Amino acid sequence: MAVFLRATNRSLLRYVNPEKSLMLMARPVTMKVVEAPRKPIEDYDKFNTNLGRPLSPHLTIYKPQLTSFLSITHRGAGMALGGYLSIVGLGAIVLPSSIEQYIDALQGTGWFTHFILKMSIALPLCYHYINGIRHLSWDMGQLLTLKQVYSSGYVVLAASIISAFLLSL
Amino acid sequence: MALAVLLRGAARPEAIRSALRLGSIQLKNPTLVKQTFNLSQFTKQGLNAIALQKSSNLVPRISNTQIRQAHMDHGLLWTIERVWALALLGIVPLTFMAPSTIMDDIFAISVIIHNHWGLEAVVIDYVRPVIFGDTIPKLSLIVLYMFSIAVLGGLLYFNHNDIGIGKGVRKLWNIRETSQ
Repeated sequence: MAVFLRATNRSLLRYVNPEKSLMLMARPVTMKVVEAPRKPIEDYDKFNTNLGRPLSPHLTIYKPQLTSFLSITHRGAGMALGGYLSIVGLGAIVLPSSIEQYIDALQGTGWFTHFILKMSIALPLCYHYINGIRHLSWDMGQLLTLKQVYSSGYVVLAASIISAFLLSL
Repeated sequence: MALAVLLRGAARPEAIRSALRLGSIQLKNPTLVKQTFNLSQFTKQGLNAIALQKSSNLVPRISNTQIRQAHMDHGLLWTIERVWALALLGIVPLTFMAPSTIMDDIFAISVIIHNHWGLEAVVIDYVRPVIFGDTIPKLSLIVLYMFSIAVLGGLLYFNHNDIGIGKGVRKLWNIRETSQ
């Protein structure tokens, strides 16, 4: 490269007027490949904040869809079930009486109370269970077309409501 | 370290060619688009890849997602989480259908670990450093670990010193309108 540049510099000088040219005053330049300065890998969140982008997901501008609804309720149902289990687990330590006695205390309350009580456990359980199968099928690469995602979504919704209702009767 | 190994591995000629084929090549300096083009020209001409390795600007960088997937432990954890969830499809109904102390304990351990992974994802998704700063997200994860351990301890206590999960749910399901 350097040799090439020097050679061309000299050959070019033959064709220019030595008095008018600046080429004579310039030193021959050697060019060399230098590693580009490394950019520190910026945090994705910080990058977006610096750009002034709003926080994703943009729930306020998104149209409510079955897919997003099923997605967030799957998480919600899981958290509800975990919450019930946490109440039992922590209650077993903290509460003065045994949990069995609290279940006994529910005997004799009305049919509707029982139904609501059972439904509040059965619905998230059935839903998280059946929709969990849907999620696992996605993880195995199945049912991933938009049409299948919607049809399986409706199936899950119907199946979980019906099974929870039947369990709670 | 892992990145260095990856980069070194990626500099091998067959890796470069496969990376180019996948179209996932990224140069260290994103402005050097022209050089990306030149790189593909070089490989097409069958030029020695060692020359590419020496001029460090031309060493391809694997994109972030590929690096994340290359971390063996997370990929393995992902698989374990799915297999775990699959196992729960059997464990949960079995606990309610045929309650026993062993089944109750299996239920408690497996469900609490499943729940912990779920809540960990929730904390990572919503308690983000960009909103809460650097300390609160880390603190929340520590609190979550303590919470999960406490609940698991409580449930095991409940299984051994009280009615237990399986029988408890059955009893709740069999409550009647009038006590007879």
